[in-house]
Amino acid sequence: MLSLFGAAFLGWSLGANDSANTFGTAVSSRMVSMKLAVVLIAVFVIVGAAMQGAHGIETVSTLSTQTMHTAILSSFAAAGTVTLMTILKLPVSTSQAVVGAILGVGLTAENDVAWSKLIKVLVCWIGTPIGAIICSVILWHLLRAIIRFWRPSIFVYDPAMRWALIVCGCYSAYALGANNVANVTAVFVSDDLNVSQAAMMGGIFIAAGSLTFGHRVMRTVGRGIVKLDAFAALVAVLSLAITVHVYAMIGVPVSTSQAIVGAVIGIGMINGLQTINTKALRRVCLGWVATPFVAAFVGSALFFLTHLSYQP
Amino acid sequence: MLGTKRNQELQKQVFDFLELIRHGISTYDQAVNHLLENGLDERYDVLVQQVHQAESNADDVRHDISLSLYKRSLLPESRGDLLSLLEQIDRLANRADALTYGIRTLGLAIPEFLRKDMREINRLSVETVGILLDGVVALLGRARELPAFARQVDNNESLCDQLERKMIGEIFQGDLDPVNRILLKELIEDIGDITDICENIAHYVTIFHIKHKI
Repeated sequence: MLSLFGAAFLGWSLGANDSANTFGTAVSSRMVSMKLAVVLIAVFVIVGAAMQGAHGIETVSTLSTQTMHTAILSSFAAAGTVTLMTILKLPVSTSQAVVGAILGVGLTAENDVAWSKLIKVLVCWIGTPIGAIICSVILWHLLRAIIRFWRPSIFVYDPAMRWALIVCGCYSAYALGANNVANVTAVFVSDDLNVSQAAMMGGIFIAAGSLTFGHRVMRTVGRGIVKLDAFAALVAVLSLAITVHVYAMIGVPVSTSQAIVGAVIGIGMINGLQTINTKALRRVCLGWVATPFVAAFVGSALFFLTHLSYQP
Repeated sequence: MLGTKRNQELQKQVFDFLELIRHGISTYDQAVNHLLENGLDERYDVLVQQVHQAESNADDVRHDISLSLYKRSLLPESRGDLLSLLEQIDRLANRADALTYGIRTLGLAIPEFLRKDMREINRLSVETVGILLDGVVALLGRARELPAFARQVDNNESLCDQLERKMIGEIFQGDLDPVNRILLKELIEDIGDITDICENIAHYVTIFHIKHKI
């Protein structure tokens, strides 16, 4: 069990950080109480992980052959990278950190690497923000057409938006659990821990992060997202959920942060490109490119350090 | 369902508030016309009391609306916008109340040469309030669309301004004593203010509409 400490830490930090992407808008617009939000996130993350987390776990667990030693190193390398990038205030993807760390450790240990699966993962990473952009543009026009046809008064529209934000928040928490649980426990899948157990355990770790620390990140991140109005926030969260859920079904863990940034860019494109903060976007892109390389380097360095031996 | 019941009650409160304002302004209209026909009498006092009652009732309803709004009835951005809109509309009832009560307290008699124009400026003011309130009802109703009311309000405000200047000029050309001149000038300016308030609210309603348009 001690070997799962790295997974627990990674799952906890993922839950604490990524909760904000699912319910940040609803909470910071005071449509949902913080307590209700973190409980809903915890429940739906576990449900998502248990029901659809297996695909991603199978992909990540077979990226490179693992021993318990390399699994622990990969886990710590990913967690260390996430911490380092957070200190540097660069947007970080846990999925990229995990895959980068697995490859760094695997290549240094001269383990077999499943290159075809790696290419699939890379394609999905590029596809995440693009998919979210396309999704948000389509959803924006579709939902707007529905609302214009429906023409509700402000007294009907506002509670409808509130409930839509809650439902979409739950869906995105489900998608987060289904997709990202692979980052947490996939490397530990072995004869002692099957895929279903790994999914459940990973879901619990993520839920613990959301329950214990999610509210703090949600307050900070939510304020940034709430600059969008309720309709735009709904489009962003639903785009995130659909995009991440699709990749959960494909079996590739992707970043919820990249998905929400993609969705917001899509909304920005509709409202005029001048509304997009290009400086912030450059930082996001830098974080995306740097994360897997930094994680691979950290994983490789950890493997190297743990195999140093004194030879007189 | 979906928490809309609470919001339906809120919608009813808001429309009740608008009806109270409409009623208050209508009673104010009756009071001014009665004053011009019959001078200050008991009937005028009754109408003053009715205008005050409508204003007071509107205040109570607005207070209840404020409490409902902060029970998470609407999205935060809608809450602030709606509350601000109702506060501005409430100023119309306050102004009507202050005007009718002021005339009674000061015992103002309207000179014959001013009465025709005063009827007209009063008619324009009351008509403008009606146009404005119709616009607000359309904004907050199912249509969420605005009739072209802002231009009408703007036109009426211009007409009122012209009439107000003409009347003030006549006041100072007449044989009235200085105190009466000042009091009548202030009365005309206060009546003219009703359309100014309407114009400001109309601008706010237009911005509200643009802001909340999907």
